[in-house]
Amino acid sequence: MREQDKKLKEKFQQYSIVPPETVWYKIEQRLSSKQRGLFFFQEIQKINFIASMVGLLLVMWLSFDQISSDMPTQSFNSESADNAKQDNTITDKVSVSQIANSSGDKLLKKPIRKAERIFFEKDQNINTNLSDRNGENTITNGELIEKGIVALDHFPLSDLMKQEESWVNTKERGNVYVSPEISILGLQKVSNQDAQLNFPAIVNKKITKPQNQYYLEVFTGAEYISRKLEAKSSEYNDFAVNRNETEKFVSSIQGGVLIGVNFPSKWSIAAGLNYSNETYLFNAKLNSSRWKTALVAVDTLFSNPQNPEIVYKSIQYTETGVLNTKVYNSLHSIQMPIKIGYSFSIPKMRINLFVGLNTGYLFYTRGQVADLKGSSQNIQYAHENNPYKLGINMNATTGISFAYLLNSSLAITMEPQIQIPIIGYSESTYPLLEKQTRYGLRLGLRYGLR
Amino acid sequence: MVDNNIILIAQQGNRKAIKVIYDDFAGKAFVICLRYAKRREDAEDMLQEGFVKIFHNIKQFDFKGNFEGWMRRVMVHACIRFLGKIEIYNDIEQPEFTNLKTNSPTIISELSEMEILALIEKLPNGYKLVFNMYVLDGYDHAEIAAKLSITESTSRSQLVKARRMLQSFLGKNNFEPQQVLKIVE
Repeated sequence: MREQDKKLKEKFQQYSIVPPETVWYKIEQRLSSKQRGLFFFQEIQKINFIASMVGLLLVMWLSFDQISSDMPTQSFNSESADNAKQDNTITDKVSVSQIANSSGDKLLKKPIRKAERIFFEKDQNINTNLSDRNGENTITNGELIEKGIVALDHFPLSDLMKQEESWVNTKERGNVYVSPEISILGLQKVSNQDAQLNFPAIVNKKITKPQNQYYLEVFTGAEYISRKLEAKSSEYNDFAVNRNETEKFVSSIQGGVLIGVNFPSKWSIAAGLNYSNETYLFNAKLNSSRWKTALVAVDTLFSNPQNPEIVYKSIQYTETGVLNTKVYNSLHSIQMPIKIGYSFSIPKMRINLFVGLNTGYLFYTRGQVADLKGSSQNIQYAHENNPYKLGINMNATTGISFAYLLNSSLAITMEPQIQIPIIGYSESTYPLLEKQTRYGLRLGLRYGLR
Repeated sequence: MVDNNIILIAQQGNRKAIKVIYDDFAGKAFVICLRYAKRREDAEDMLQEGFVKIFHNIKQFDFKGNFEGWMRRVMVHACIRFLGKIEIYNDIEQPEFTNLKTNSPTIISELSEMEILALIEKLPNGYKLVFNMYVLDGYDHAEIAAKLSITESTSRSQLVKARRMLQSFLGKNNFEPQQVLKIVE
């Protein structure tokens, strides 16, 4: 460096001109707004996390045994059957001895649970008929009974009688069905002979308690992602407009797992984890100003804003042979969906309408992969120096899930869904906010855990 | 000079510490911005951008180097980025300035800072950018080439032309600091 340059540089090193006070006020405002934004964002994340945890705890609470404080622990034994036998009311109605002997003792020494209900799990239409209290639809066909699951032997018969009225009244509250057999026992005049003839299932069927059905689902899928960039402040509006016009996401492929619970009430809750590889596309004319802006922008977005060396290398792309008009960039994200659904069934199919939240963690771990006819080396080199980046977003999700039952525990699922942005991806120092609307289709395999 | 403890406290987000740093460096930073900017309003915007960037990334300063040097680089980067938004690079190739005099009797470094600023302000954008980066901010031609996406030889030629133009301003005797100091007033 020339001597004259050194003098000049030294001279300016210490030279100072006081800026107007308004500059500090503007800086202070921006620092405050960023902190507020970050605070709000962090709070939303906390709320989401807490909501997820509460949801899972609720699932666990509903799923596992809740001992009722107002119902004593009882067990079925021959004594209670004998007592029942002596009860004329009962013996007039059904063959208690057969009921008493029906299912063995192994299921019976359990506490009676408040949440426990007796229900038919396979064919609810038949249940409804069987539950008819007027006796008009009295079971006359043993085949119908076979489709039902009877739980008479789960309770001492005397208690059944005491509880019958309230149980019947809970019929079709949610998806809980009262055993029609109990209803018949309690209200219909059925002779012992009729009982033996018409209700063999009462004797033979195992108990099925109403219980939550847990499932594990492995899925894969594809998404079209429509991306919109928004400027955090008005001064970056043009920047956002340019990028919106020159870049767009085209697709993602993904895979993951879900664990969920179907409640007897038809409601369900599921949470999971999935990986998504997102590929986006630049679509701009070579050497146009927008192309240049876009390339600068993508580096800025995913490179370290603190590292000016990286950001401006992108401009080289226009001069070093980016001959193609498309550049692909590959990103990675981990997503945590949680969703609540309502199900209904048709033969062989369980259909679930759901809404939920999807929190995504975006990682940018390695270089841009460019599909270039020209020199791609520069692009890859420019990005290899980038540290990983992380951004977080949150989308609202809704969709419909079709589960085709292969057998009692295995189903194939198909799930079209849409995600609508609530909180966009952004680094705190970056002037743009990225909101993704996702249209996806997932295919999966669902295994019933119990 | 800001004490390291102040920097540490500022890294925790303490607003008073941040203000101390701002007060200490704002004047010098404003000079950097004025050197790069075409208008005073632009310089104020650059200053704002630069400081926001400094304070958002202050945690990344690891005390291995000089804090003011780090801030200067961030500020210069903010200036270049600001200029980038207005497509400064398109006019980095200026038409040849043919009537340059190289035998000016005046040595530029002997001028006052304000006079030099006024001279620099008269340079075309491309010349000004390279001159500032090379002479006053200590970037070498390779770094300038990388940042501006030009070749090193282009950077060199821009610098030569900038020097010649500055000398010609002096040599032509048409340099009247009082008339061109609007930017710094």
